[in-house]
Amino acid sequence: MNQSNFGEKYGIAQYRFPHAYDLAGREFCFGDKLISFDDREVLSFCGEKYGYECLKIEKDTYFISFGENAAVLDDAFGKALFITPDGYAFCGDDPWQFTDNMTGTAVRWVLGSEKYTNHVYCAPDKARFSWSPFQDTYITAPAKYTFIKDGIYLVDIAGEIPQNVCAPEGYDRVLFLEDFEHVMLVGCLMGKGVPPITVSGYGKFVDFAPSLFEQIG
Amino acid sequence: MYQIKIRGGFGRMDLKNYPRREYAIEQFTQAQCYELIGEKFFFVMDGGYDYELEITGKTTCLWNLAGEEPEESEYLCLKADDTTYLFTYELKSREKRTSHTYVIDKEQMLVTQLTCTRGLNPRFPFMVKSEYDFGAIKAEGRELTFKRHYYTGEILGTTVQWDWNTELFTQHAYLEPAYYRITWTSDSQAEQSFTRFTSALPSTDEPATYIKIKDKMFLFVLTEMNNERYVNHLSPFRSNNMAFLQNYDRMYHVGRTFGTLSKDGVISDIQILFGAFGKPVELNEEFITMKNPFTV
Repeated sequence: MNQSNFGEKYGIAQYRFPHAYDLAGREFCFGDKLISFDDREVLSFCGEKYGYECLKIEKDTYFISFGENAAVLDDAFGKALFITPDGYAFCGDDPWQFTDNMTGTAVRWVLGSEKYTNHVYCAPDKARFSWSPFQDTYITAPAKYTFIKDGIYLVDIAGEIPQNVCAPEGYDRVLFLEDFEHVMLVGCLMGKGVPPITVSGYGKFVDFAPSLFEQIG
Repeated sequence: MYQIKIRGGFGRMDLKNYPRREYAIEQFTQAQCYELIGEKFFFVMDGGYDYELEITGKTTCLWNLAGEEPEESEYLCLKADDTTYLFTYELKSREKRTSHTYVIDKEQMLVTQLTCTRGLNPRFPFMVKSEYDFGAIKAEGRELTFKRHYYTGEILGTTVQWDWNTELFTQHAYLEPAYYRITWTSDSQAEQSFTRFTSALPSTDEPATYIKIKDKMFLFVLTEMNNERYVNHLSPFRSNNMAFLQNYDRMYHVGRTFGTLSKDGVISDIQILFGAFGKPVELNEEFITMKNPFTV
């Protein structure tokens, strides 16, 4: 029988990579921030226990989603970024920083069969995005861009997902750890009172209207 | 030339133009898996030759036929789901180039072994021969299961498009138990890369093997034998053996190649990891129903 399918049961999480368990049993201390991966499912962060999901974007760089928080961890260079409701905490020697390098980039991120989101990084603090099937209906939203290492960036867009698109309602933030060497991503969608959805996918460089790159304000 | 490198990367740029290397089938390879480090396996194989495997580092492992001295190899490992691994290494001690590739299934405690050897065919010295064995993973306190991964026809009838990189996609049809067929459309990079030698063949059918690992997961292995027999003067790939661990639950695969590259008169070994994202595709009736010209 034909095994091909559109992955309906997973929605936008269809292409999510297998979980990475490399960090299970390990502990990382960055000043007052201690993150301890108790096992494959539970971590401790600053004294609290959380269920977590960990995905790898490249051999030593991990994206971790836990509760209302997320982290990026570089096991080779001992750096981390924690994103909590209190904001960003950059940790490690020579810590990562926000960047405006991505301004001018536009990419379609495919998260499943026929399920994608278009991203236009139009300004250092803003992005435009749309979701299939309404790929031409763009929303402009606040965004943060962090340089992780050559070709790898964390993109944080705070914009509500519209109705009737391939992504579910109730989510108002995407965190994508994007690798422009391999043109793939791992990350998650977040929202108040809803569980995070972890995702993976690949990029396509399609034609975007020049007007989408016009900067605002 | 790209922009001068500044703190934080290459400076502001459209990352479409990021100075990435040129990719073929390996761009969408998932990150290598290190989580087996420190684990030891004992594979009880139906062929009667059991194997031990110990993963000693991010790239190193020790393996041996049970009862023999361990040998060190460099391994590559990818995951197809949370508990199923494609694990491969080359055997340094063999006179003829040989690799072991395992599907290590920790959910069902089962293992499939694929041994590939180059140089056994006197007429085609680059031809790769594949041998399979099936077994169970021994674990303290657990009885060995009698179930096995095994050859299957369950995948026959599948047509699928695999996206390998931002420009390259191919369309596979799994129609016969011992062959697969491949095509693409003109907007794929495959048109420039592969058509030159596949068009010299009566069809793209190549020998293949299908093994069921679990529900919605298959090991699909092809060897480009017809390519090597009939158009080796046109193709850079010489009897490439490709092992795909395909996850149809999520529609992606991970895999590895074992073969030979002939480019500009230089012959080199190839063993690379690859990966792709899949989606359903409808292929034209003529392509699907065409008789395989390589079989009676």
